[in-house]
This record gives sequence, structure tokens and C-alpha cells, in this order.
Amino acid sequence: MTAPGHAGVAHGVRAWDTHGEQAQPAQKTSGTSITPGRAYGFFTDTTLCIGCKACEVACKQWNQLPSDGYELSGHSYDNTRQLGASTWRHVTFIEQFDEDRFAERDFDVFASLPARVEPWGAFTAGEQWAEPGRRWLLMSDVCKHCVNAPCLEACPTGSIIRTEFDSVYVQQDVCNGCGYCVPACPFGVVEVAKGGDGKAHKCTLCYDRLRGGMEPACANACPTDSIQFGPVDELVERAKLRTDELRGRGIPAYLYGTDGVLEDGADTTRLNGLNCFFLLIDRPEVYNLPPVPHRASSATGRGLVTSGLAALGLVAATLWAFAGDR
Amino acid sequence: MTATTSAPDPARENALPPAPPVKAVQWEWYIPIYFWTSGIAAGSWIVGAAEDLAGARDRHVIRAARYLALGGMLAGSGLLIADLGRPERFHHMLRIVRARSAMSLGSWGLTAFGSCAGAAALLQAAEDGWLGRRPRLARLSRGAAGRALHAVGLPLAAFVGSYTGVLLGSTNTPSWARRADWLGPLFLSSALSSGLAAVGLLAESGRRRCPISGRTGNGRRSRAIARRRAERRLARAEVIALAAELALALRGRASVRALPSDAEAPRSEHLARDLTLALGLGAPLVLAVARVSRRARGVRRKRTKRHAPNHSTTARIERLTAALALAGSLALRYLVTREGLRSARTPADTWRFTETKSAERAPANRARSATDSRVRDQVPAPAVDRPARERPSLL
Ligand code: SF4
Ligand code: SF4
Repeated sequence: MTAPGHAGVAHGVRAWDTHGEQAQPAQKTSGTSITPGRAYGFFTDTTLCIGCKACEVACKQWNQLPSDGYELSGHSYDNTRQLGASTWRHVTFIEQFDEDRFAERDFDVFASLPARVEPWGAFTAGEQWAEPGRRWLLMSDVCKHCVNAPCLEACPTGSIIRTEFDSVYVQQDVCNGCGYCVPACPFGVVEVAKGGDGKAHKCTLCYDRLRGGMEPACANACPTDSIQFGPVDELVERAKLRTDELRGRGIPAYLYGTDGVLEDGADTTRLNGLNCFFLLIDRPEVYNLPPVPHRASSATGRGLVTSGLAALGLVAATLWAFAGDR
Repeated sequence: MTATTSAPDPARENALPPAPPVKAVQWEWYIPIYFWTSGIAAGSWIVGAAEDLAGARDRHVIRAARYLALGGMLAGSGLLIADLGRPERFHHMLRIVRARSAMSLGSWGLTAFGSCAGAAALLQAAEDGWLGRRPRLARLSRGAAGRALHAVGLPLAAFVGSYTGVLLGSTNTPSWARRADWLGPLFLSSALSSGLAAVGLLAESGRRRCPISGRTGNGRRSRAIARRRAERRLARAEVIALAAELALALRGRASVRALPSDAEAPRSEHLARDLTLALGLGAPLVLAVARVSRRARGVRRKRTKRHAPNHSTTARIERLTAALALAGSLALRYLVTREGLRSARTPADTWRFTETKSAERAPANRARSATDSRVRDQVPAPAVDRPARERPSLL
């Protein structure tokens, strides 16, 4: 499936003019214009990802993020390992290979081919996607820009705000590095650069680029359109079509982060959905995503009530203990 | 080992161990000490207020409580600010009020309570003659103004003593979030027990240095009775606080033991936890109970003109109880923090915490297996019939 933008460019369609004369760059690259007041995000279709890490590199370059060093993790082709203060895109490599995956094959290529080969059809689906045990799963992970963002709710300085593009943004001139956003995030995204500038960092949804009418660098760089940028409502429609198409081919695709739309076993309603959502074909945990992400602030009110009750009891008991023997 | 015989093994399912799905807090080692000192400050205030409002207004107890409240707050705030990534921006905490952020509420609570503690310590300093001759301030300190301040600070102290628990609970660290409702009460009871212990120790040393106490007569006998009664008040409250703390800590232990990360804890830590429960909470509770009953006997004996209990032994027991309770409270904060750190680094904890309540998962999720009919119908039969596999389930 191609993003409409590419088709648009091919046919020379110019849908919307920013300044009356010139189209926004985003219209050429993602087929969408960027209007403040609308919610923007990513639809990451993991079935299209080829693990090239162009998004990681584009993100590092545009945002001038420091290198994480040359450590080899020994974990598949993934030496990035996780999102953090200096890593705002991370391609997760999931190897699902049975140890006996070669046992049943003689290495005569033609003999090992299925009886009915349909190029790009069921063969691809069956062999590569629908069968855990002989496949790679790849997912380009990012800040989800949650609708009820727990990091934003936790931030005591008001450093984390929701921008005019409905993204979640850490204002660097306000953050004092208290670090309370870090354990609040259900996805382990945001991190304080301890030993660095001491402030919290995460994906900004390329706020500066959006202001300039450009789509985020990662989506622009992605060669397979695994990362698609656009208004969230349009992206969800596009994702629904893609999910149905995959399901029709027998692949158990579903969406993660669409607040109930084709979400299946995942449930992101506590966060009211995610502006950056994903198409997955295995259980969320396999991709290191919580099936039911927890809104951290939901415990605050209840905790204050139980603490208040405990305080009433303990203070009353203390007063009683002191009054009893004067 | 083939797939058919493999036990459910999340590591194999996701062939390589991923980084933990959530991030742990990035605090320095001294944050549990902040929990402890702010707890002592809050507990001390409750003790001082109770003495002033309901007790005999023993000046030694009130003085110790007021100074401890300020001292604990100053030490705690220093540690908190030192832990910030940008300490010079600490005042950014007071840019906004956010009811959904325990950290924001806590910052305001600390500011408000710190102001009360500062004002009370100032009054007390005037009363003690540290500020030169200020009879009017000293009278305010002893009178209704001091009591009003104590009353105003009482809810603030209760908040400062408990909010740290709420702060831990309002995260995505499974060990804390699972028992979010109980961490506030646990930290509050721990604050009260450590406050009682600290006030008891400081008041006693103050009494030794300067035995004259405000309201009571200054005869040796009335001083001794006042002292004994004050200690008994503290011991009675200590029994209540330690009993609550122990009950809540045992409940927390059960909750933590149910988590996969607990199996990964080194044995030394299990030992430390049980020692903390036994020596830091249980032993002082037993001693405090003994003190209360012994005091009761002692006072009765005094009334019947029989000899009083051995003071030096009693004093030693009191000091031991207080030291154990203080150490237990500190150890408890450390253990809770460590449990949280390990829990955040153990993916299985997060999966346990974020799974759906309903056993019934939605259709496409159940179909996510190689042997599912929808999939099999479309995929040509493999060259060799593969045995049907049960995908190990984490849920
Ligand atoms: S909670 Fe985490 S995923 Fe959600 S907006 Fe904040 S950093 Fe991004
Ligand atoms: S570290 Fe910065 S962004 Fe995160 S909660 Fe603290 S002040 Fe807010």
C-alpha cells in the first residue's frame, strides 16, 4: 500500500497551498498539509519494516543527537537496544526462529518450496508473517504521543506540554530534571540525560519541522512507508484498510493504540489512545509493548484518599494516646 | 531442544531478551534518605502537635518536635534538590499546580509544611532564648498562636508523611503501582513511628541537659512524674504507629512476593527484608508494648509509694526501641525503593501488571498461532508435516 502522498506527487496533484503560492514540503512527501490545531502522529506498519534503521539515522541527524557509542549488544542486529535521552527512534528486532527450523527441509530449494507458490500472495504471507518460528518481526519504536500522556501528567514543572499539533513536547528551558516523567511513561520512552545536560529528552514529533511545514525526519526517510505521518484520523482510516487487507490474506493483523479500533487484545483506552500507533501481527508483549498500558496518574487520587483516611486514623489515635495520660 | 518440547519460555518466544519495557527511576542513592528525613519531620510535627493540643504541653517534647521538623525538612529538601538534573532550577517546581502529579502536589506540600516548620522553629528559638530577649514571641510560642500553628500544620504534616508513598504508587513501576493504595498509609505510619522515636530521643537528651520543664512544677518529684508521663504518652503512640506500620509492611511483603522479580532478588535481600520486619518493626513494637505496661505498673507503684522501676534500664530500653524504630524506618524505605528498581527492570513484572483482567482475549489475538485454521487454510501444507505447537503464553 502506498501513502497517498506518493501517488499525489506522481500525478502532480497539489492539494493545498500554505502561502498561496507554494505547497508545504509535507504535501509532496506525505500527501498532507500541516495545520496547527489538528492532531498529527505516526502510523507505523510493522509488516513493512525492513530494519534498515534509516529512521534512527534521520532522527539522530535532524535532531543533532549524540552518538550512543559503538557497543555491540549481541542482540540480533540491534545495537541500539532501547529508546532513551539520545535515541528517539529505535528499530526493535525480534527473531522468531525455531531451533529446528532447518530440520524439516532438505536444502534442495525447489523441493522445499510449497506446492502452490503465489508470488507476493499467500506464500509470502504464510512463510514470513503468519508463522512464528520462521520470521523476523521488526518495529520502529518511538514516543507514542499518548492522548492522556502520563509523562505530561506527572511533570511538576509544566515542562511537558501538548503542542498545537497535539504532540507531547518537553520544553528544554523549563525542565529541571526531576525525572518523575521517566517512571510515569508506560513505554519506557522518556529519559533524563544524567551526566549530560540533566534534562529529560524524547521524540518531539519534529516540532520544528512541523512548524516549517515539513513531515518528521523519520517518516520522510522511511523507504518502505512503514512509518507514515499524517493527521491521526486519516491515519486510522488508512490503517483500518491495511488491517483488513492483511486479515483477508490470513495474517492476524491488529492495531495497537487506536483506542478500541481493531485493537483486539490490546487496550489503550486508559490513555485514550496513542497519536502514534502501530500495526502488529503478534501479541503486544512480543514487541515489548504492554497489552494494557497503565495511566500512572490514575493512582494518585486513590492513593491520596487512602492516605487521608490513614492520616485521620493515625492522628486521632495519636491525640488519643497523648490525651490519655497527661 | 525442539519447539514441541520446550517449556513456555518468554525468552525463546522473543528469541532475544529485550530491554525492559519500562524505565526505572533514575534517582541517586540518597532519595530513600530523603523519604526518611521528611518522614521524621512530618512524624515529629504530628507528635509536637499532639503534645500541644491533647497532651500535657511538655516543653521538652514540643521543643524536640519543632526542631526535628525543621531539621528533617532542611535535610530532605537539600537531598531532593541535589538529585535534580538541574538543581539551580528547583524553583520551577512552583510554576504550576497539577492535581494529577504527585510530585507537583508534593512540592507544594513541602513548601507549605516547610514554612510551618520554619515558623514553629522560630517561635521555639525565641522561647529558648536563641534570639535574645523576646518575651512576647516566647509567650506566643507557648500560647494559642503556637497551638494554632500546630493545628494548621497537622494536615500538612500528614500529607508530607504520606505523599512519598503516593508518589511511588503513581508510576509504571509494577511493584509500586500494584500496591499504590497502600504505600501512602505505609509511609505515613513509618513517618509517625520514626518521628516518635526521634522526638523521644531528642527530648530525653534535652531533659538531661536542662531538666526544667514549663508547665509542671519544678520540684524534683513532679519533674520525674512529668517525665515519666511524657514518655508513656510517646510509648502509647509508638505502639499504635508501629502496629500499623508492621501490618502494612507485611501486606506489602505479600504483594511483592507475588511478583516474578522477587524470585530474582538475591537471598541477602530477602534476609534484609525479614530482618527489617523482625528487628526494625517487630522488636520495637514488642519493646514499646512492654514499656507501656511497665510504665503503667511503675506509675501505679509510685502512687502506692513502692519503689519506682530502675530508671537506667528503662532509659536504655527506650533508647534501644527508638534506635531500632528509626533504623527500621530507613531500611523499609530502602527496601521499597530497591524492590521498585528491580521490578521495573524485570519485564515479567510489567507483563503481569499490564495484562487484561478478562481471560478472554479478542479473536485476532487468539488466531495469532501457526496452527490457527484461518491461517492454515491459506498457507500451503509444508513439505514435512510440522507438529502442532502450543505457543507458550505469557498471559
Ligand atoms: S508517556 Fe511515554 S509514550 Fe506517552 S507521550 Fe509521554 S514519553 Fe511518549
Ligand atoms: S524531568 Fe523535566 S520533563 Fe520530566 S517530569 Fe521532571 S521537570 Fe518534567
